[in-house]
Amino acid sequence: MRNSSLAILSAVLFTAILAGCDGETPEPGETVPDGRSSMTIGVMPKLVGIGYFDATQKGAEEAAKELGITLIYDGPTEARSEDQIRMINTWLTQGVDVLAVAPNDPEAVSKTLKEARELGSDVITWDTDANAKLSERTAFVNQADNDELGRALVQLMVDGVKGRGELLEGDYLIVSGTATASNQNTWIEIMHKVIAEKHPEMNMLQHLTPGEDQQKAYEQTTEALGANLKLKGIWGITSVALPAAAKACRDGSRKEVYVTGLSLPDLMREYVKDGSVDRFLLWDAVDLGYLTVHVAHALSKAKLESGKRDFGRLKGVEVRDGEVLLGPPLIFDEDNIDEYHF
Amino acid sequence: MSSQVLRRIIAISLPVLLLLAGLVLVLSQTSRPLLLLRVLVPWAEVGALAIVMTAIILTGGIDLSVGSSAALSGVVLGSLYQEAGWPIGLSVFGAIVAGTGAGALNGGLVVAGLSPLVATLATMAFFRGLAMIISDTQRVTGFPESFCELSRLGGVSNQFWLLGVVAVSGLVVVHATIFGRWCFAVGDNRTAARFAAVPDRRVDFALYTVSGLVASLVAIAACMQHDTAVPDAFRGVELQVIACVVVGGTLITGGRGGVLQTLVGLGVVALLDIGLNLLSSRVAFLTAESRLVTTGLLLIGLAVWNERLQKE
Repeated sequence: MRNSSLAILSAVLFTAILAGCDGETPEPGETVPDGRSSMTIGVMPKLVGIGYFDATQKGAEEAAKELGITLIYDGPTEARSEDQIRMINTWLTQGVDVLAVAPNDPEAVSKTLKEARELGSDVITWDTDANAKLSERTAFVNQADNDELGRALVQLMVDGVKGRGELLEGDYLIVSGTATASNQNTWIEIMHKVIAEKHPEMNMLQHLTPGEDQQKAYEQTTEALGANLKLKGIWGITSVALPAAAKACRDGSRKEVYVTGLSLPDLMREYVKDGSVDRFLLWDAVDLGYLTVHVAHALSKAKLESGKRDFGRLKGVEVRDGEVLLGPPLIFDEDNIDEYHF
Repeated sequence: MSSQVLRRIIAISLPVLLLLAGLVLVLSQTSRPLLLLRVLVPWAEVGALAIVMTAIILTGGIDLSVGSSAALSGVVLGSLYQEAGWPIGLSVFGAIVAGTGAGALNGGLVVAGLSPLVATLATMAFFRGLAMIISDTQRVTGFPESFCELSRLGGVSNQFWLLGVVAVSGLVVVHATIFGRWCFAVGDNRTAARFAAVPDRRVDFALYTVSGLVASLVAIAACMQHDTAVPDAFRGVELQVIACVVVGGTLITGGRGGVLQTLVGLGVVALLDIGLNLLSSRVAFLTAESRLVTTGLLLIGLAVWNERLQKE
């Protein structure tokens, strides 16, 4: 008796599952555009679940609506290239026309990006680059000129410390993200170069790499504060590192440490209002997502020539040898932080 | 039909039905189904590890360190080639020795009396730490062309060949040899097995060592394919492996289950993950976070179902 009821239960479950599956597949002719009738662009951030990549998603969706294309915006829950590779391969089975990836590790993903090209999808990178030669990516949508960004970060610190009436001499720390991300590493390189040239009295300590994890960044910064009682300044150069560093200094009552860097206005608002942080910079993350989708779409029509051109509502965007630059960095402070919401 | 056989049929029917449902789900969402083979490659890696894990779980043990052993082997391969400058063939051999040695360490700890859960939990951290130290947390790239070209033999990725070989060996060993009977006996009642002159300690040692060996082979296949060895690789893979075994119907307490069931479990877990990923672009509710929850719930449901069905 019991066995047959179990058999019936299994059959019912099976039917229920099948029915559930069918219910979610759009029927032909429904309003959801399928990959055949319009372009499909896949945009993959380093990971999902942090404010910065929520902001870029907003911009990407705005552009997708404007252009009437199908957008897949998704990423791994942790900033790992293994997970990105799996997701890219899954998308390829759905037939994406253009793949836009922000790789966690420029080397690890490049082979897969090249294979994606060979399988018929166009490939661009955004936010951070891959190995351009190995991946054969067509374009890199960069938020700002790396050199300009590095210099701006250094300048913020210099102005901040001098503005307090102090000398620049002392120890400085950079809190970064993942150890392999090429965007952060490029900025760190440039910052070191600029400081060695113009402000050699600033002593740069070994930078921290807590990953894209605000909690870890907080813990590591607190440790560093404890180990370096003469710290003069800290840069947080990812959207989670800066608020973590600000909190660590505030919680440790280290007012003498000047904290700056880059992050989202929404994440930094409380620290700017209570004075823990003076000024910081970013770029319009929403615009970055918007631009990425527009560049992906533009590539399907023609090659990107160097020079200035318009992409949707963004006018005069510079294209330089396959690199698309969003524009100069935005500096946020007490006066303008309430105007931005991302 | 005896109630035993009917019970067996029902026990395997749910995973099989879910497997079919999963297939339907996934195939309905792809416009280029052949490319699914690329997506299945990491699942073939999970599968190879799951076959060995089945035997281990049958004895009532567990190996939580498979991911870390694989990462360690990969890093040893990379370091021997790049840092020590060994020829690639010798480096591969070194990686296999490393993985097998890791497995032997697990085996030794278990034989010495440590609970497998505790022992492999500790080695999971230990091997991962070793991998980070050896590689200096740097990735290794730039393996020779000749090495990477071997990642596909006869047009099929190595991982599939590895899965095939391990699956066939596993089927034969577990279901058609005395060693296999010993595994079931140990899992059912270790004391009784000992009294029946089953060399349970040798069985344990052999199984954990083989687990390490297969982990090293998986790592080598992955290095061939990605041309990269990272200390962070295969993080979380042990949970996927165990999920495949448990969903397939092998009891976590041991004594019941089998390789074929694990293969079905592998299919279900893989298709579930792939299917949810594919659906997420159509169904707004399926964000990355809710996918985790959905997968977890479905796996819990299946595991509970299997346990209840299999208990006397």
